[in-house]
Amino acid sequence: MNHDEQSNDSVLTRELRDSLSGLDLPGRPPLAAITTRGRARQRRRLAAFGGLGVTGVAAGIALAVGLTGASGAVPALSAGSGSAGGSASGTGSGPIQTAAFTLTSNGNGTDTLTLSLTQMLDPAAFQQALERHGIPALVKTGTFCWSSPSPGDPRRLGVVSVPLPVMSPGPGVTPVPGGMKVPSPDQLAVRTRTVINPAKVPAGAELFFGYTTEDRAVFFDLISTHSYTCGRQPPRR
Amino acid sequence: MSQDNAEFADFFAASWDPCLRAVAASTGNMTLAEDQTAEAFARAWASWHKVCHHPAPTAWVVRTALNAGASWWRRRSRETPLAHHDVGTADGAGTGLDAPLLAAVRRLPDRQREVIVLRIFLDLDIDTTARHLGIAPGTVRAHLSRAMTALRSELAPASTTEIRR
Repeated sequence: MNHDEQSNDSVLTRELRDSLSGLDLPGRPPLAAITTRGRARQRRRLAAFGGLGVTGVAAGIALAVGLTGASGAVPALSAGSGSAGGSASGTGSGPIQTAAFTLTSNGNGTDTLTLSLTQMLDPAAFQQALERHGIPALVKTGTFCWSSPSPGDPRRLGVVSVPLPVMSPGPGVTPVPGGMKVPSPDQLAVRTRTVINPAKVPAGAELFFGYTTEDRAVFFDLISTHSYTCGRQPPRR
Repeated sequence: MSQDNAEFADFFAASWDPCLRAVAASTGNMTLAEDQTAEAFARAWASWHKVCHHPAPTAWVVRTALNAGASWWRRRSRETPLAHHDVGTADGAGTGLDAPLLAAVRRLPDRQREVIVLRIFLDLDIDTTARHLGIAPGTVRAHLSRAMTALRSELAPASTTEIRR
């Protein structure tokens, strides 16, 4: 390498480092958020080695611990007439707020679900919360369930609708006229209000919610209560 | 707090920003980088007894984060044809990630980009970079040289102006 190339390289190196130091970074998350995430990972791995279901382990993760996620915001953990910390026990249909989701009654027979997923979703707590609000549902982690024939498209039947974003939509989420664009197969949009109308659930059917821990995404569909198949991948449509 | 936890806490406090910068510069997506970096630190915490003996724990975190991102995208494209919803692909605007030089780094071949990340972004020496990548120091130099040549040629007008000043 000659002198000019060395000089060019040192200029380039400095420019690269300057570009890097010029990045506008979000705040560092609390250490507790990292260690809790790491602990959850350890539990999942232990569960896998021990032959336990992931769902059972995830259910053991307390939602009462405040964590931050991508947004860096510390979620509020509270419940109205419901439970504190999101364990979703007891009766009634008061608002339930956890680090992963909020469920509130709208007073007209519908309920509003807002996913934040700043913490792993506890499927047991989520299912309890839905049941308390009279929403027939099956919640599973790491698996997708469907019925054939399908009881119907939950959005077309008016069981699930996503009218408006309530939080900052965030990068990559573009509000569209008439509501948020929901991908197919149906994925619950994080940071939006999803309205659920349990009265529109067909007889003999229930809502299925599938949570993927690695993507931290929630898929939903309608399934027949007593006849459904589950697999590791969502069905193609 | 145990000694291990205290060590990890120090490491986390000192390394979060450099690691996030390196991951974000490599992916071009701050939101995704933040989540991948958090995941990598969580894995580092879970395996701290091993990671703390690594020659360059920051390099371990960055590589783990980038691998987590790669598997995320692979899984995403294979299993779920979803719209870009929670995580966007182009949030570089306003964060500095859309800088031409960083964009040029992202266009480098994988190995050259890895060397740039480790050697320049994380400021590791040649030997540590080589150990981390499992290649010879001479190979690191070769990749680095090719990467710098490629970057110089992509950004020739800007660099030339800079040097003449």
